[in-house]
Amino acid sequence: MGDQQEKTASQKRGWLGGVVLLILLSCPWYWSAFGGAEDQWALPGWLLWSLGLALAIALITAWASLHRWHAGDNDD
Amino acid sequence: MTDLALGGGSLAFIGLYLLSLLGLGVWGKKKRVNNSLGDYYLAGRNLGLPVMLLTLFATQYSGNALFGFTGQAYRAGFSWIVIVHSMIVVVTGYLIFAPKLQRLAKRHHFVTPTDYIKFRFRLPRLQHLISICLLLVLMNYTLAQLKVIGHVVEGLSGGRIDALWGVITLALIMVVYSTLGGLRSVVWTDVLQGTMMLIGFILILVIIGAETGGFVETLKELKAVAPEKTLPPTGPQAVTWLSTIVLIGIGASVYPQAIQRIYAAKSASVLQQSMVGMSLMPLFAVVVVLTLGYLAIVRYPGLQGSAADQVMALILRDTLAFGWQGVAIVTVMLAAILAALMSTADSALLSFSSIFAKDIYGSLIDPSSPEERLTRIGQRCAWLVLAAMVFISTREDVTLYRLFVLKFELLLQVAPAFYLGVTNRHIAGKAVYWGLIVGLVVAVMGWLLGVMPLGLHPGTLGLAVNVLVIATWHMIRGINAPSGS
Repeated sequence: MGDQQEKTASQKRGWLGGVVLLILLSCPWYWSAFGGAEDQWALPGWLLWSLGLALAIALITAWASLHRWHAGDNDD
Repeated sequence: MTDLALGGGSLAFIGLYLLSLLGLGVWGKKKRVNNSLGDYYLAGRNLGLPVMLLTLFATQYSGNALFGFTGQAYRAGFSWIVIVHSMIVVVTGYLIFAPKLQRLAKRHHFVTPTDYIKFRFRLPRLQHLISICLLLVLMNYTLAQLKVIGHVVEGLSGGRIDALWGVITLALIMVVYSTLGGLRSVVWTDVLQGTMMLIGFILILVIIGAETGGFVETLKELKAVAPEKTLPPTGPQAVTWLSTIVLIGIGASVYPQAIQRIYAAKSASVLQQSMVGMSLMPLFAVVVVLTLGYLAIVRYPGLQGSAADQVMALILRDTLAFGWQGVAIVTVMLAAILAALMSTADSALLSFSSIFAKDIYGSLIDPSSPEERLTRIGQRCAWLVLAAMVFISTREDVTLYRLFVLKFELLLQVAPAFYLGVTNRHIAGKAVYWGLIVGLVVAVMGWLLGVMPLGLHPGTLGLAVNVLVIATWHMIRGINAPSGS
């Protein structure tokens, strides 16, 4: 595998790993650590935390979709 | 659906909108270059950015988004916010396999999703099983849309038009414009329908503003009326949260009609830019629909089961009280609702006819058929299937969400063939085939029994077993030489 292909594969793994991590963080396993059911700016803390992570997932996905490595030029 | 009897002006607006769809059908027919499958089912593989974005939007956001999501928000409360994450993850899923699939589709002239499976795995039994799964999903999808169309028409006419006749009329309009212009007509009706839906979502915000004393006040009332619906999921519910993201995020990314739109993109950059729009869309479209569901908890407490799917209709009924502005909002909203339903049903129908014509008839019944004949077979198939679905739509009684889930249970089992096929050159067709069979058995059995072990949807559990079978197969049989690309 050449340097460029290795870099591309690494970028893909990094992006996907980041999104999976954010998805896991957005799950309310540990909601009490982030405001719980108490209100923060009119919404329950857990909901705001989860929505904030949804925004982060959307932005990272939008950013990733513009990157050329998704077109698969180097991954045949 | 709740009685929403509208005046002549409103009905004329909706009538004009429906006529314009037929006009787009005629336009699509004139633009057809030939009778090939690629021209008819993929619009000549030439979709540009605005069309691609709006057709993906209209296809992905169906009647479920307006009725099912609102109803589920009403039933489940804030924990249903997980649908926002799920709809974003659909786009994440696309990014894993769609760009490369689009490039392969252009190079090898794929028409149906199964064409890729045939090219990649060269295993006829896998190809046929996936075709059957996709056909079942598309029937389910069409049926769900028709059921809601019946309710909408009945409510729209104040009960003067029977649901059956409403479904028959709108189904006829859909099948006529689909037959005339194929995907070319369908995507342009999607552009119109997607635009109507976006206007509809903005109008929802107007309705929320008009009907409440503000978002904060509504939240306070919500906590007083149903405090349990503001609580975070706990224990198995948190597992269900993650399972929902997997179920919808991965399942919806392999919608056959969406895969065919990926094939139809003009270029890789068009597809990539469309994905940017689609990844941000849920933050607007889904959030406003959910907010409407939460408003309904305060306004219409006590609705149970499938009655909660009617909250959108109840809100529209009350909006009529706001004079001519209310009537205008409801008229546009109803056109947007019909648009959402029809844009999804027509895409599913077209996809069904292409899979039947190419992968069943052209592969199993008459492999020597020329493309022109297969196109005609597909057109006839669309009429027959739609007639059958119209008949069934009047007889079933399943809540929208249940139909929605059943579809994903099946789609999720098909997903490894695309995800692993595109990203891993060593995956063998036989492993995918046995994984699919075991996954289907687990998913369908779980669905029939109505069980969710550990809070997992049967489809998610099926996917886990499916992938485990694929991994085990390779551990026992060893890694193959690379195949396909």
